[in-house]
Amino acid sequence: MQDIEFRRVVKELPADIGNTLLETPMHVQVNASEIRLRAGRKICIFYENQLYFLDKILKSEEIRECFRSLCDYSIHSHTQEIKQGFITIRDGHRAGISGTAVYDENDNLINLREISSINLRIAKQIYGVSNSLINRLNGNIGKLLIIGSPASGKTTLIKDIIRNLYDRVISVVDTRGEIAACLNGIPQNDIGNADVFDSWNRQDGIISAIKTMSPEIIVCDEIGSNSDLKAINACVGAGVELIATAHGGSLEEILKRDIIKKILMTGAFDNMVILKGKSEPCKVESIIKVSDLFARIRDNSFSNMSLVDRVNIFSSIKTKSNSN
Amino acid sequence: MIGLTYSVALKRNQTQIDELIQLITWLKIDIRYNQSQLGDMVNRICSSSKFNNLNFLNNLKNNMMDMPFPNAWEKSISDWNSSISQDDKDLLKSMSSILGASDANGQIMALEHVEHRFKISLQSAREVYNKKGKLFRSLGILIGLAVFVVFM
Repeated sequence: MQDIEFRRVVKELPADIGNTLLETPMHVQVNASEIRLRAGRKICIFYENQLYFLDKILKSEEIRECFRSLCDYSIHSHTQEIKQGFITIRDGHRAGISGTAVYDENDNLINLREISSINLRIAKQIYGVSNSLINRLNGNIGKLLIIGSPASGKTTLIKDIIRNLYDRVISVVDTRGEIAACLNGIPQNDIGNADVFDSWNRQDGIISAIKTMSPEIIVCDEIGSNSDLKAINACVGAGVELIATAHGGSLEEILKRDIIKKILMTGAFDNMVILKGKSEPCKVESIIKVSDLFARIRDNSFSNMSLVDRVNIFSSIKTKSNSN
Repeated sequence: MIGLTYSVALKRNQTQIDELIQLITWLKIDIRYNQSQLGDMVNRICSSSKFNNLNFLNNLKNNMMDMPFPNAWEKSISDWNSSISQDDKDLLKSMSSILGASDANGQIMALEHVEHRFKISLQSAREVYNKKGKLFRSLGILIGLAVFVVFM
């Protein structure tokens, strides 16, 4: 029940702000996907592609109190998350935060101060949302990369895929606690029989999972950093299949990222699924076979990409072919 | 009896400050190495037998169900019927603005300052107990004997 999810999120806020939010009309509560709290501005709720504004204007102190409350008054337990701009809260919901960045003398981001905005994203568990995708792939769901823009339903889809693969040995590397949402070691989300590596960074989590849990499939969220490449290579080397998500609005967008090109070159993924976007969460725009993609690039049929990008991709494929 | 009561109160003051210092050590370790949430820390502390003289901890656990941690901490200390001085109580209350309010290093630095001040209080409590504890007991016995003699 979505309304319960809204109320669960609201319970994590200070009582006065939570009570204000509970005055929201029921149809907005039921369909809410985001609650945006901004200093000096009205509370805004995103639902069914519409915005609903509450009259309450939040003061800076109230935003700070919301931040502390969302951290369960334990900021030290969330420092790694805060540095990445979010806090995972109970039941797998997530609060994105923005504020003034604090850097140390070596230019490393060490903290956020003067929190100015909080975006509470209401996590959903939609049973059966991955069924049609699994059918379209004839059950060959391993070695899958799901691509979508923020709030396009990547994590929701991946959670349902895990549930559907209950008869496989799966390890979930839950870097940001969004997939399993463990609390005291117990997953708050239904993730079937998967083993969870909670709050591990992806590289350490994937390598540790391979060594310790003998998984058939490893699932992780939002790949796309240089450190992921080594771990993905380890997966390929160990014969472990990988299901992952990555940020990107379209195929063209994602192929502009060098690291994604390198990841695709590892052979870790057979299929890429592009999601439609925020307006139609979890809906599949297209499924692309990675081998077909490479063939299309070789055939020079990527007319809407710049020549530089085509040459770049093509040369990297040639390099791999030569080394093989 | 009265002398003995005063003497026991002095001893209890010493024991409570000693346990408060142990509590701060526990908190520092939990914050630095486990980075536990305050709720989990309080649950673990309450289930430990090390802090039997710090009754406010059980109230804290209950108060945390109804109010934010800083308010719960301050209320449980205000309601605590303890032997420690008002200055020490205020010092203990000030931890509401330290615990959970910053990263681990920030909290540990602030907790070390509080710990240092409690250690000074403990030293002085020991001195007071050594000086006055015996005096209260002796006076109690003497007055008791005197009363006994008068009524005999």
